[in-house]
Amino acid sequence: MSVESQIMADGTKCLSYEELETYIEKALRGKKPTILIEDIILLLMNSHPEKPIHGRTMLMKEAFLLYEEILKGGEIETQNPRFVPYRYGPYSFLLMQTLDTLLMAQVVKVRGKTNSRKESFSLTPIGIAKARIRLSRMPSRLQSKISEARVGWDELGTDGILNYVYANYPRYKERSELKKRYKDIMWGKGRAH
Amino acid sequence: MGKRASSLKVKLNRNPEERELFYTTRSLDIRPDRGPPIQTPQRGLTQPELDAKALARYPLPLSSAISGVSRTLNSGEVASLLTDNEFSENQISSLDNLSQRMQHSSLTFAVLQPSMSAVANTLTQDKYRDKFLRMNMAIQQQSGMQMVTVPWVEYSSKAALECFETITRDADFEPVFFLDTRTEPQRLREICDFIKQKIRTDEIHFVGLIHRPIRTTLASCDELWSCLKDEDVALILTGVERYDPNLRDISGIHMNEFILGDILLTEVRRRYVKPENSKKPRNTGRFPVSGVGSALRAFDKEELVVRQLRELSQASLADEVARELGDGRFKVPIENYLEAGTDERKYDIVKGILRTHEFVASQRELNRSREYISAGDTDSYLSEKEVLGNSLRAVRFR
Repeated sequence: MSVESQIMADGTKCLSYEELETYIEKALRGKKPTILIEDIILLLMNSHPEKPIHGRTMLMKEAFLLYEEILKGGEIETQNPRFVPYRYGPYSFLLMQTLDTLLMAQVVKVRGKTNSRKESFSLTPIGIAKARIRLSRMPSRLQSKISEARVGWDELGTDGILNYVYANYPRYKERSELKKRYKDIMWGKGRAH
Repeated sequence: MGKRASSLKVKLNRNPEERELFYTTRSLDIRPDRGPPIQTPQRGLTQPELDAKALARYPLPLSSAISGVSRTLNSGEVASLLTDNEFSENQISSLDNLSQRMQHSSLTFAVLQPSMSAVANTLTQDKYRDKFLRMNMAIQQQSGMQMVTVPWVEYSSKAALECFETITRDADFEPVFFLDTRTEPQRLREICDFIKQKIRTDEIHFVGLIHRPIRTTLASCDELWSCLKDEDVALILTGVERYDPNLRDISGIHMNEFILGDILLTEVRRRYVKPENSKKPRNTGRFPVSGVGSALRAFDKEELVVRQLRELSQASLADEVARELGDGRFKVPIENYLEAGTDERKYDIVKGILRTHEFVASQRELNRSREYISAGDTDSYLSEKEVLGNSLRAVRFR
Protein backbone atom coordinates (compact mmCIF):
# COMPACT_ATOMS: atom_id res chain seq x y z
CA MET A 1 0.00 0.00 0.00
CA SER A 2 1.46 3.37 -0.90
CA VAL A 3 0.69 6.52 1.10
CA GLU A 4 0.55 9.89 -0.66
CA SER A 5 2.47 12.92 0.62
CA GLN A 6 0.26 15.27 2.56
CA ILE A 7 0.33 18.60 4.37
CA MET A 8 -0.90 18.42 7.95
CA ALA A 9 -3.07 21.10 9.63
CA ASP A 10 -0.03 22.73 11.26
CA GLY A 11 1.76 22.95 7.93
CA THR A 12 4.04 19.96 8.51
CA LYS A 13 4.63 18.05 5.32
CA CYS A 14 4.42 14.25 5.61
CA LEU A 15 6.33 12.66 2.74
CA SER A 16 5.43 9.50 0.90
CA TYR A 17 8.12 6.80 0.89
CA GLU A 18 8.92 7.48 -2.77
CA GLU A 19 9.31 11.21 -2.20
CA LEU A 20 11.46 10.63 0.88
CA GLU A 21 13.69 8.36 -1.17
CA THR A 22 14.11 11.10 -3.80
CA TYR A 23 15.18 13.58 -1.11
CA ILE A 24 17.70 11.11 0.34
CA GLU A 25 19.05 10.38 -3.10
CA LYS A 26 19.50 14.13 -3.77
CA ALA A 27 21.22 14.66 -0.43
CA LEU A 28 23.67 11.81 -1.02
CA ARG A 29 24.37 12.64 -4.65
CA GLY A 30 27.96 13.71 -5.12
CA LYS A 31 28.79 12.93 -1.49
CA LYS A 32 31.55 10.36 -1.06
CA PRO A 33 30.60 7.33 1.04
CA THR A 34 32.47 6.80 4.28
CA ILE A 35 33.20 3.41 5.79
CA LEU A 36 32.38 3.40 9.49
CA ILE A 37 33.61 0.84 12.03
CA GLU A 38 30.22 -0.82 11.85
CA ASP A 39 30.72 -1.18 8.08
CA ILE A 40 34.07 -2.89 8.60
CA ILE A 41 32.27 -5.64 10.54
CA LEU A 42 29.45 -5.78 7.99
CA LEU A 43 31.88 -5.91 5.06
CA LEU A 44 33.82 -8.73 6.65
CA MET A 45 30.81 -10.85 7.56
CA ASN A 46 28.78 -10.09 4.44
CA SER A 47 31.66 -11.16 2.18
CA HIS A 48 30.59 -14.77 2.93
CA PRO A 49 27.35 -14.46 4.90
CA GLU A 50 26.86 -18.22 5.13
CA LYS A 51 30.39 -18.82 6.53
CA PRO A 52 30.84 -17.68 10.14
CA ILE A 53 34.02 -16.18 11.58
CA HIS A 54 35.29 -18.53 14.26
CA GLY A 55 36.57 -16.95 17.46
CA ARG A 56 37.06 -13.36 18.67
CA THR A 57 40.77 -13.46 17.88
CA MET A 58 40.04 -14.31 14.23
CA LEU A 59 37.39 -11.59 14.03
CA MET A 60 39.70 -8.95 15.50
CA LYS A 61 42.69 -9.93 13.33
CA GLU A 62 40.61 -10.14 10.14
CA ALA A 63 39.13 -6.68 10.88
CA PHE A 64 42.66 -5.40 11.49
CA LEU A 65 43.93 -6.80 8.17
CA LEU A 66 40.87 -5.52 6.34
CA TYR A 67 41.57 -2.02 7.65
CA GLU A 68 45.37 -2.12 7.20
CA GLU A 69 45.66 -3.93 3.89
CA ILE A 70 42.51 -3.02 1.98
CA LEU A 71 40.65 -0.01 3.36
CA LYS A 72 43.33 2.29 4.83
CA GLY A 73 44.52 4.81 2.26
CA GLY A 74 42.00 3.48 -0.28
CA GLU A 75 39.61 5.46 -2.42
CA ILE A 76 36.89 5.49 0.24
CA GLU A 77 37.43 7.36 3.46
CA THR A 78 37.40 4.95 6.39
CA GLN A 79 36.89 5.64 10.08
CA ASN A 80 40.02 4.66 12.02
CA PRO A 81 39.24 1.83 14.47
CA ARG A 82 42.35 2.84 16.49
CA PHE A 83 44.00 -0.53 16.88
CA VAL A 84 46.45 -0.71 19.80
CA PRO A 85 48.93 -3.42 20.86
CA TYR A 86 47.12 -5.64 23.35
CA ARG A 87 47.15 -9.15 24.87
CA TYR A 88 46.90 -11.00 21.55
CA GLY A 89 48.27 -8.31 19.24
CA PRO A 90 46.26 -5.56 17.54
CA TYR A 91 43.01 -4.78 19.32
CA SER A 92 40.35 -2.11 18.84
CA PHE A 93 38.14 -1.20 21.77
CA LEU A 94 35.94 0.80 19.41
CA LEU A 95 35.43 -2.22 17.20
CA MET A 96 34.50 -4.43 20.16
CA GLN A 97 32.00 -1.85 21.41
CA THR A 98 30.48 -1.68 17.94
CA LEU A 99 30.29 -5.48 17.80
CA ASP A 100 28.42 -5.51 21.14
CA THR A 101 25.97 -2.95 19.78
CA LEU A 102 25.42 -5.03 16.64
CA LEU A 103 24.87 -8.14 18.78
CA MET A 104 22.30 -6.32 20.91
CA ALA A 105 20.55 -4.98 17.82
CA GLN A 106 20.43 -8.56 16.46
CA VAL A 107 22.37 -7.56 13.38
CA VAL A 108 25.11 -10.06 14.30
CA LYS A 109 24.53 -13.43 15.95
CA VAL A 110 26.94 -15.44 18.03
CA ARG A 111 27.02 -19.22 18.51
CA GLY A 112 29.18 -21.50 20.64
CA LYS A 113 31.14 -21.11 23.85
CA THR A 114 32.23 -17.52 24.58
CA ASN A 115 35.94 -16.76 24.14
CA SER A 116 36.70 -20.09 22.53
CA ARG A 117 37.50 -21.09 18.95
CA LYS A 118 34.02 -22.54 18.80
CA GLU A 119 32.47 -19.12 19.28
CA SER A 120 31.31 -18.04 15.83
CA PHE A 121 29.99 -14.75 14.50
CA SER A 122 27.75 -14.20 11.49
CA LEU A 123 25.04 -11.86 10.24
CA THR A 124 21.38 -12.42 11.08
CA PRO A 125 18.79 -11.98 8.28
CA ILE A 126 18.37 -8.41 9.61
CA GLY A 127 22.14 -8.01 9.40
CA ILE A 128 22.25 -9.30 5.82
CA ALA A 129 19.51 -6.84 4.80
CA LYS A 130 21.28 -4.00 6.60
CA ALA A 131 24.59 -4.92 5.02
CA ARG A 132 23.01 -4.98 1.57
CA ILE A 133 21.70 -1.41 2.01
CA ARG A 134 24.86 -0.05 3.68
CA LEU A 135 27.23 -1.63 1.21
CA SER A 136 25.25 -1.03 -1.96
CA ARG A 137 27.25 2.11 -2.63
CA MET A 138 30.64 0.41 -2.26
CA PRO A 139 32.39 -0.50 -5.50
CA SER A 140 31.86 -4.15 -6.43
CA ARG A 141 35.60 -4.63 -6.99
CA LEU A 142 36.20 -3.69 -3.35
CA GLN A 143 33.65 -6.25 -2.23
CA SER A 144 35.19 -9.00 -4.38
CA LYS A 145 38.66 -8.13 -3.05
CA ILE A 146 37.38 -8.49 0.51
CA SER A 147 35.61 -11.72 -0.37
CA GLU A 148 38.85 -13.24 -1.70
CA ALA A 149 40.91 -11.96 1.23
CA ARG A 150 38.47 -13.42 3.73
CA VAL A 151 38.93 -16.94 2.27
CA GLY A 152 42.70 -16.60 2.57
CA TRP A 153 42.52 -15.36 6.17
CA ASP A 154 40.04 -18.06 7.24
CA GLU A 155 42.33 -20.74 5.82
CA LEU A 156 45.19 -19.49 8.02
CA GLY A 157 43.32 -20.37 11.22
CA THR A 158 43.97 -18.61 14.52
CA ASP A 159 47.64 -19.59 14.86
CA GLY A 160 48.36 -18.82 11.23
CA ILE A 161 46.72 -15.40 11.27
CA LEU A 162 48.61 -14.47 14.47
CA ASN A 163 51.82 -15.65 12.80
CA TYR A 164 51.06 -13.48 9.76
CA VAL A 165 50.05 -10.39 11.75
CA TYR A 166 53.01 -10.58 14.17
CA ALA A 167 55.47 -11.05 11.30
CA ASN A 168 54.13 -8.18 9.20
CA TYR A 169 53.06 -5.75 11.95
CA PRO A 170 55.65 -6.39 14.69
CA ARG A 171 54.87 -3.26 16.68
CA TYR A 172 51.47 -4.72 17.63
CA LYS A 173 52.99 -7.68 19.45
CA GLU A 174 54.81 -5.56 22.07
CA ARG A 175 52.24 -6.34 24.76
CA SER A 176 51.21 -9.74 23.48
CA GLU A 177 51.13 -12.68 25.88
CA LEU A 178 52.21 -14.86 22.96
CA LYS A 179 55.14 -12.81 21.69
CA LYS A 180 57.73 -15.40 22.74
CA ARG A 181 56.05 -17.93 20.49
CA TYR A 182 56.22 -15.58 17.50
CA LYS A 183 59.78 -14.23 17.63
CA ASP A 184 61.14 -12.09 14.79
CA ILE A 185 63.14 -14.00 12.23
CA MET A 186 66.11 -12.37 10.52
CA TRP A 187 67.34 -13.70 7.19
CA GLY A 188 70.62 -13.07 5.42
CA LYS A 189 71.90 -9.59 6.14
CA GLY A 190 69.46 -8.98 8.95
CA ARG A 191 66.40 -8.72 6.74
CA ALA A 192 63.21 -9.83 8.44
CA HIS A 193 60.55 -11.88 6.72
CA MET B 1 15.83 -43.02 9.39
CA GLY B 2 15.25 -40.66 6.45
CA LYS B 3 18.01 -39.48 4.16
CA ARG B 4 18.93 -35.80 4.02
CA ALA B 5 17.69 -34.24 0.79
CA SER B 6 20.57 -33.63 -1.61
CA SER B 7 20.88 -32.14 -5.06
CA LEU B 8 24.43 -33.48 -5.49
CA LYS B 9 25.16 -34.74 -8.99
CA VAL B 10 28.22 -36.26 -10.64
CA LYS B 11 28.32 -36.57 -14.44
CA LEU B 12 30.93 -37.74 -16.91
CA ASN B 13 31.60 -34.82 -19.22
CA ARG B 14 34.37 -36.40 -21.23
CA ASN B 15 34.43 -40.07 -22.05
CA PRO B 16 37.35 -42.01 -20.63
CA GLU B 17 40.47 -42.03 -22.76
CA GLU B 18 42.80 -45.01 -23.02
CA ARG B 19 45.72 -44.79 -25.43
CA GLU B 20 47.47 -48.05 -26.26
CA LEU B 21 47.32 -48.91 -22.57
CA PHE B 22 49.65 -45.96 -22.05
CA TYR B 23 47.37 -43.76 -19.97
CA THR B 24 43.85 -43.68 -18.59
CA THR B 25 42.02 -40.47 -17.77
CA ARG B 26 38.63 -38.76 -17.89
CA SER B 27 36.81 -35.61 -16.83
CA LEU B 28 33.74 -35.22 -14.60
CA ASP B 29 31.35 -32.44 -13.62
CA ILE B 30 30.41 -32.45 -9.96
CA ARG B 31 27.49 -30.28 -8.90
CA PRO B 32 27.60 -29.99 -5.12
CA ASP B 33 24.61 -28.96 -2.99
CA ARG B 34 26.27 -25.58 -2.49
CA GLY B 35 28.86 -23.71 -4.46
CA PRO B 36 29.84 -23.67 -8.12
CA PRO B 37 30.25 -26.84 -10.22
CA ILE B 38 33.57 -28.66 -9.85
CA GLN B 39 35.43 -30.13 -12.79
CA THR B 40 37.88 -32.99 -12.48
CA PRO B 41 40.73 -33.91 -12.42
CA GLN B 42 41.07 -31.75 -9.35
CA ARG B 43 43.71 -31.40 -6.66
CA GLY B 44 42.18 -31.53 -3.17
CA LEU B 45 43.50 -29.42 -0.32
CA THR B 46 44.87 -31.30 2.69
CA GLN B 47 45.76 -30.46 6.27
CA PRO B 48 49.56 -30.35 5.70
CA GLU B 49 49.00 -27.88 2.87
CA LEU B 50 46.92 -25.64 5.12
CA ASP B 51 49.59 -25.94 7.82
CA ALA B 52 52.27 -25.07 5.25
CA LYS B 53 50.31 -21.97 4.27
CA ALA B 54 50.16 -20.88 7.93
CA LEU B 55 53.90 -21.49 8.41
CA ALA B 56 54.67 -19.60 5.20
CA ARG B 57 52.37 -16.73 6.27
CA TYR B 58 50.72 -16.81 2.86
CA PRO B 59 47.55 -14.71 3.09
CA LEU B 60 45.96 -15.48 -0.29
CA PRO B 61 43.42 -18.28 -0.74
CA LEU B 62 44.49 -21.78 -1.74
CA SER B 63 40.88 -22.08 -2.86
CA SER B 64 40.31 -25.72 -3.51
CA ALA B 65 36.75 -26.83 -4.20
CA ILE B 66 37.48 -30.02 -2.25
CA SER B 67 39.37 -30.33 1.02
CA GLY B 68 40.14 -33.45 2.98
CA VAL B 69 41.87 -34.73 6.08
CA SER B 70 43.43 -38.16 5.86
CA ARG B 71 44.89 -39.75 8.98
CA THR B 72 46.42 -43.16 9.48
CA LEU B 73 45.71 -44.53 12.94
CA ASN B 74 48.18 -47.01 14.45
CA SER B 75 47.19 -49.94 16.69
CA GLY B 76 47.35 -47.87 19.89
CA GLU B 77 45.24 -45.11 18.37
CA VAL B 78 42.66 -47.57 17.07
CA ALA B 79 42.46 -49.13 20.55
CA SER B 80 42.07 -45.65 22.06
CA LEU B 81 39.34 -44.78 19.60
CA LEU B 82 37.44 -47.90 20.70
CA THR B 83 37.82 -47.32 24.42
CA ASP B 84 38.96 -43.80 25.32
CA ASN B 85 36.58 -40.82 25.47
CA GLU B 86 39.43 -38.33 25.55
CA PHE B 87 40.91 -39.64 22.31
CA SER B 88 37.59 -39.29 20.48
CA GLU B 89 37.04 -35.84 21.95
CA ASN B 90 40.49 -34.70 20.80
CA GLN B 91 39.84 -36.07 17.32
CA ILE B 92 36.51 -34.25 17.10
CA SER B 93 38.05 -31.03 18.33
CA SER B 94 40.97 -31.23 15.92
CA LEU B 95 38.74 -32.09 12.92
CA ASP B 96 36.29 -29.38 13.92
CA ASN B 97 39.11 -26.84 13.88
CA LEU B 98 40.16 -28.04 10.43
CA SER B 99 36.62 -28.01 9.08
CA GLN B 100 36.46 -24.33 10.08
CA ARG B 101 39.62 -23.61 8.10
CA MET B 102 38.26 -25.62 5.15
CA GLN B 103 34.81 -24.03 5.26
CA HIS B 104 35.16 -22.27 1.90
CA SER B 105 35.54 -25.57 0.04
CA SER B 106 32.31 -26.90 -1.45
CA LEU B 107 33.08 -30.45 -0.25
CA THR B 108 35.02 -31.44 2.87
CA PHE B 109 35.73 -34.85 4.37
CA ALA B 110 37.96 -36.67 6.84
CA VAL B 111 39.10 -40.27 6.61
CA LEU B 112 40.48 -41.91 9.75
CA GLN B 113 42.05 -45.01 8.24
CA PRO B 114 43.49 -47.76 10.46
CA SER B 115 46.98 -48.82 9.41
CA MET B 116 47.49 -52.33 8.02
CA SER B 117 49.06 -53.45 11.30
CA ALA B 118 46.21 -51.90 13.32
CA VAL B 119 43.70 -53.90 11.28
CA ALA B 120 45.77 -57.08 11.74
CA ASN B 121 46.45 -56.59 15.47
CA THR B 122 43.48 -54.71 16.87
CA LEU B 123 40.53 -55.06 14.51
CA THR B 124 40.77 -58.83 14.61
CA GLN B 125 37.06 -59.64 14.64
CA ASP B 126 34.01 -58.25 12.86
CA LYS B 127 32.53 -57.01 16.15
CA TYR B 128 35.61 -54.76 16.64
CA ARG B 129 35.47 -53.63 13.02
CA ASP B 130 31.78 -52.77 13.39
CA LYS B 131 32.46 -50.80 16.54
CA PHE B 132 35.40 -49.02 14.94
CA LEU B 133 33.26 -47.91 11.99
CA ARG B 134 30.45 -46.79 14.30
CA MET B 135 32.79 -44.67 16.43
CA ASN B 136 34.65 -43.41 13.38
CA MET B 137 31.51 -42.17 11.63
CA ALA B 138 30.20 -40.62 14.85
CA ILE B 139 33.43 -38.62 15.21
CA GLN B 140 33.13 -37.33 11.65
CA GLN B 141 29.50 -36.33 12.09
CA GLN B 142 30.38 -34.37 15.23
CA SER B 143 33.25 -32.58 13.51
CA GLY B 144 31.38 -30.52 10.94
CA MET B 145 32.84 -32.20 7.84
CA GLN B 146 30.31 -32.27 5.00
CA MET B 147 30.86 -35.84 3.79
CA VAL B 148 31.12 -38.96 5.96
CA THR B 149 33.65 -41.59 4.96
CA VAL B 150 33.78 -45.30 5.74
CA PRO B 151 37.39 -46.51 6.03
CA TRP B 152 38.61 -49.85 4.71
CA VAL B 153 38.84 -52.37 7.56
CA GLU B 154 39.53 -55.61 5.67
CA TYR B 155 36.14 -57.26 6.05
CA SER B 156 35.65 -60.41 4.01
CA SER B 157 33.85 -59.68 0.71
CA LYS B 158 30.55 -60.94 2.11
CA ALA B 159 30.85 -58.96 5.36
CA ALA B 160 31.97 -55.85 3.46
CA LEU B 161 28.93 -55.96 1.18
CA GLU B 162 26.59 -56.48 4.15
CA CYS B 163 28.19 -53.57 5.98
CA PHE B 164 28.02 -51.29 2.91
CA GLU B 165 24.38 -52.23 2.33
CA THR B 166 23.42 -51.50 5.95
CA ILE B 167 25.17 -48.14 6.00
CA THR B 168 23.75 -47.07 2.63
CA ARG B 169 20.24 -48.06 3.69
CA ASP B 170 20.16 -46.81 7.29
CA ALA B 171 22.50 -43.84 7.60
CA ASP B 172 21.24 -40.28 7.55
CA PHE B 173 24.04 -39.33 5.13
CA GLU B 174 25.50 -40.43 1.84
CA PRO B 175 28.54 -42.56 2.70
CA VAL B 176 31.89 -42.41 0.90
CA PHE B 177 33.27 -45.97 1.02
CA PHE B 178 37.05 -46.21 0.93
CA LEU B 179 38.75 -49.15 -0.79
CA ASP B 180 42.41 -50.10 -0.48
CA THR B 181 44.02 -50.31 -3.93
CA ARG B 182 46.22 -53.21 -2.81
CA THR B 183 43.11 -55.40 -2.38
CA GLU B 184 43.00 -58.33 -4.78
CA PRO B 185 41.20 -57.55 -8.09
CA GLN B 186 38.61 -60.30 -7.65
CA ARG B 187 37.46 -58.86 -4.31
CA LEU B 188 37.45 -55.35 -5.73
CA ARG B 189 35.28 -56.50 -8.64
CA GLU B 190 32.65 -57.89 -6.25
CA ILE B 191 32.58 -54.66 -4.28
CA CYS B 192 32.53 -52.53 -7.43
CA ASP B 193 29.51 -54.47 -8.72
CA PHE B 194 27.66 -53.51 -5.56
CA ILE B 195 28.86 -49.91 -5.77
CA LYS B 196 27.77 -49.64 -9.41
CA GLN B 197 24.20 -50.53 -8.45
CA LYS B 198 24.24 -47.79 -5.83
CA ILE B 199 25.69 -45.28 -8.29
CA ARG B 200 22.93 -46.01 -10.77
CA THR B 201 20.24 -45.49 -8.11
CA ASP B 202 21.87 -42.17 -7.15
CA GLU B 203 22.76 -43.41 -3.66
CA ILE B 204 26.52 -43.03 -4.10
CA HIS B 205 28.38 -40.23 -5.88
CA PHE B 206 31.91 -40.67 -4.47
CA VAL B 207 34.22 -43.62 -3.88
CA GLY B 208 37.44 -43.24 -1.87
CA LEU B 209 40.63 -45.06 -2.86
CA ILE B 210 43.68 -45.47 -0.65
CA HIS B 211 46.71 -45.01 -2.86
CA ARG B 212 49.61 -47.49 -2.75
CA PRO B 213 52.73 -47.46 -4.93
CA ILE B 214 51.53 -48.19 -8.45
CA ARG B 215 54.02 -51.01 -9.03
CA THR B 216 52.40 -53.02 -6.25
CA THR B 217 48.82 -52.42 -7.36
CA LEU B 218 48.81 -52.48 -11.17
CA ALA B 219 46.19 -55.21 -11.57
CA SER B 220 43.92 -53.75 -8.88
CA CYS B 221 44.09 -50.24 -10.35
CA ASP B 222 43.32 -51.66 -13.76
CA GLU B 223 40.32 -53.52 -12.35
CA LEU B 224 39.02 -50.41 -10.59
CA TRP B 225 39.43 -48.34 -13.77
CA SER B 226 37.64 -50.97 -15.88
CA CYS B 227 34.76 -51.21 -13.41
CA LEU B 228 34.24 -47.53 -12.71
CA LYS B 229 35.52 -45.56 -15.72
CA ASP B 230 32.07 -45.19 -17.33
CA GLU B 231 30.21 -44.50 -14.11
CA ASP B 232 28.99 -41.14 -12.84
CA VAL B 233 31.04 -41.38 -9.67
CA ALA B 234 34.01 -39.32 -8.52
CA LEU B 235 37.05 -41.30 -7.38
CA ILE B 236 38.84 -39.65 -4.46
CA LEU B 237 42.44 -40.87 -4.35
CA THR B 238 44.07 -40.15 -0.97
CA GLY B 239 47.61 -40.72 0.22
CA VAL B 240 49.26 -40.01 -3.14
CA GLU B 241 53.03 -39.80 -2.68
CA ARG B 242 54.48 -36.33 -3.15
CA TYR B 243 57.06 -37.67 -5.59
CA ASP B 244 58.36 -41.03 -6.80
CA PRO B 245 62.14 -41.39 -6.35
CA ASN B 246 62.13 -44.38 -8.70
CA LEU B 247 60.68 -42.33 -11.54
CA ARG B 248 62.92 -39.26 -11.62
CA ASP B 249 60.99 -37.66 -8.74
CA ILE B 250 57.82 -37.30 -10.80
CA SER B 251 54.99 -35.65 -8.86
CA GLY B 252 52.55 -38.32 -7.63
CA ILE B 253 49.52 -36.08 -8.22
CA HIS B 254 50.38 -35.46 -11.89
CA MET B 255 51.31 -39.09 -12.49
CA ASN B 256 48.12 -40.51 -10.97
CA GLU B 257 45.98 -38.07 -12.92
CA PHE B 258 46.68 -40.42 -15.84
CA ILE B 259 46.26 -43.68 -13.96
CA LEU B 260 43.33 -43.55 -11.53
CA GLY B 261 41.54 -40.86 -9.53
CA ASP B 262 39.40 -37.81 -10.28
CA ILE B 263 40.18 -35.94 -7.05
CA LEU B 264 43.75 -36.37 -5.89
CA LEU B 265 45.14 -35.63 -2.43
CA THR B 266 48.76 -35.95 -1.34
CA GLU B 267 50.14 -38.27 1.29
CA VAL B 268 49.85 -37.13 4.88
CA ARG B 269 52.91 -38.24 6.76
CA ARG B 270 52.18 -36.35 9.93
CA ARG B 271 49.87 -38.12 12.28
CA TYR B 272 47.49 -36.61 14.78
CA VAL B 273 49.34 -34.12 16.99
CA LYS B 274 48.46 -33.71 20.66
CA PRO B 275 46.88 -30.39 21.60
CA GLU B 276 49.19 -27.51 22.54
CA ASN B 277 48.59 -27.91 26.28
CA SER B 278 50.11 -31.40 26.13
CA LYS B 279 52.99 -31.76 28.60
CA LYS B 280 55.14 -33.68 26.15
CA PRO B 281 58.01 -31.47 24.89
CA ARG B 282 58.31 -30.82 21.17
CA ASN B 283 60.76 -33.08 19.40
CA THR B 284 63.65 -30.94 18.21
CA GLY B 285 66.12 -33.78 17.79
CA ARG B 286 66.40 -33.43 14.01
CA PHE B 287 68.40 -30.16 14.24
CA PRO B 288 70.79 -29.17 12.88
CA VAL B 289 69.79 -30.73 9.55
CA SER B 290 72.79 -31.80 7.51
CA GLY B 291 72.26 -31.32 3.82
CA VAL B 292 69.23 -29.05 3.94
CA GLY B 293 69.51 -28.78 0.15
CA SER B 294 68.68 -32.50 -0.09
CA ALA B 295 66.07 -32.53 2.65
CA LEU B 296 63.95 -29.79 1.11
CA ARG B 297 62.31 -30.03 -2.29
CA ALA B 298 60.53 -27.73 -4.72
CA PHE B 299 57.97 -28.39 -7.46
CA ASP B 300 59.06 -27.84 -11.06
CA LYS B 301 55.93 -27.06 -13.05
CA GLU B 302 57.59 -27.52 -16.44
CA GLU B 303 58.79 -31.08 -15.79
CA LEU B 304 56.18 -31.93 -13.12
CA VAL B 305 58.88 -33.23 -10.77
CA VAL B 306 59.66 -32.41 -7.14
CA ARG B 307 63.39 -31.64 -7.10
CA GLN B 308 65.88 -31.35 -4.25
CA LEU B 309 66.87 -27.71 -3.67
CA ARG B 310 70.53 -28.47 -4.27
CA GLU B 311 69.68 -29.25 -7.91
CA LEU B 312 68.20 -25.78 -8.42
CA SER B 313 69.55 -22.26 -8.73
CA GLN B 314 68.60 -20.34 -5.58
CA ALA B 315 68.01 -17.08 -7.45
CA SER B 316 65.77 -18.51 -10.15
CA LEU B 317 63.84 -20.62 -7.62
CA ALA B 318 63.29 -17.51 -5.47
CA ASP B 319 61.99 -15.62 -8.52
CA GLU B 320 59.71 -18.47 -9.51
CA VAL B 321 58.27 -18.84 -5.97
CA ALA B 322 57.68 -15.08 -5.64
CA ARG B 323 56.04 -14.96 -9.09
CA GLU B 324 53.77 -17.95 -8.50
CA LEU B 325 52.73 -16.78 -5.02
CA GLY B 326 52.40 -13.18 -6.20
CA ASP B 327 54.50 -11.73 -3.38
CA GLY B 328 58.15 -10.63 -3.47
CA ARG B 329 58.50 -11.16 0.30
CA PHE B 330 58.96 -14.88 -0.31
CA LYS B 331 62.24 -14.35 -2.16
CA VAL B 332 64.40 -13.63 0.90
CA PRO B 333 63.83 -16.92 2.79
CA ILE B 334 64.38 -18.95 -0.41
CA GLU B 335 67.56 -17.04 -1.28
CA ASN B 336 68.82 -17.80 2.24
CA TYR B 337 67.47 -21.33 2.65
CA LEU B 338 70.83 -22.70 3.82
CA GLU B 339 70.20 -20.90 7.14
CA ALA B 340 67.27 -23.29 7.63
CA GLY B 341 69.73 -26.11 8.31
CA THR B 342 70.50 -24.78 11.79
CA ASP B 343 67.29 -23.08 12.76
CA GLU B 344 64.06 -25.05 13.15
CA ARG B 345 61.80 -22.02 12.72
CA LYS B 346 63.53 -21.01 9.51
CA TYR B 347 63.31 -24.62 8.34
CA ASP B 348 59.56 -24.61 8.96
CA ILE B 349 59.13 -21.31 7.08
CA VAL B 350 61.13 -22.45 4.04
CA LYS B 351 59.30 -25.80 4.03
CA GLY B 352 55.97 -23.96 4.35
CA ILE B 353 56.78 -21.63 1.45
CA LEU B 354 57.91 -24.50 -0.79
CA ARG B 355 54.84 -26.62 -0.02
CA THR B 356 52.53 -23.66 -0.59
CA HIS B 357 54.25 -22.91 -3.88
CA GLU B 358 53.90 -26.57 -4.82
CA PHE B 359 50.18 -26.59 -4.13
CA VAL B 360 49.51 -23.35 -6.02
CA ALA B 361 51.70 -24.19 -9.03
CA SER B 362 50.53 -27.80 -9.21
CA GLN B 363 46.87 -26.82 -8.99
CA ARG B 364 47.33 -24.33 -11.86
CA GLU B 365 49.06 -27.00 -13.91
CA LEU B 366 46.30 -29.50 -13.17
CA ASN B 367 43.72 -26.95 -14.33
CA ARG B 368 45.70 -26.57 -17.56
CA SER B 369 45.89 -30.32 -18.14
CA ARG B 370 42.14 -30.58 -17.55
CA GLU B 371 41.51 -28.33 -20.54
CA TYR B 372 43.39 -30.79 -22.74
CA ILE B 373 41.57 -33.78 -21.25
CA SER B 374 38.16 -32.09 -21.62
CA ALA B 375 38.97 -31.32 -25.24
CA GLY B 376 40.05 -34.93 -25.90
CA ASP B 377 43.59 -33.75 -26.63
CA THR B 378 45.51 -35.51 -23.87
CA ASP B 379 48.19 -36.66 -26.34
CA SER B 380 49.22 -33.06 -26.97
CA TYR B 381 49.57 -32.39 -23.26
CA LEU B 382 51.64 -35.51 -22.65
CA SER B 383 53.91 -34.72 -25.59
CA GLU B 384 54.86 -31.49 -23.75
CA LYS B 385 55.74 -33.38 -20.56
CA GLU B 386 58.59 -35.71 -21.26
CA VAL B 387 59.24 -37.00 -17.73
CA LEU B 388 55.55 -37.68 -17.19
CA GLY B 389 55.24 -39.52 -20.51
CA ASN B 390 58.33 -41.62 -19.81
CA SER B 391 57.16 -42.41 -16.29
CA LEU B 392 53.77 -43.59 -17.52
CA ARG B 393 55.45 -45.81 -20.13
CA ALA B 394 57.85 -47.17 -17.50
CA VAL B 395 55.03 -48.11 -15.16
CA ARG B 396 52.96 -49.84 -17.84
CA PHE B 397 55.63 -51.53 -19.91
CA ARG B 398 58.61 -52.15 -17.67
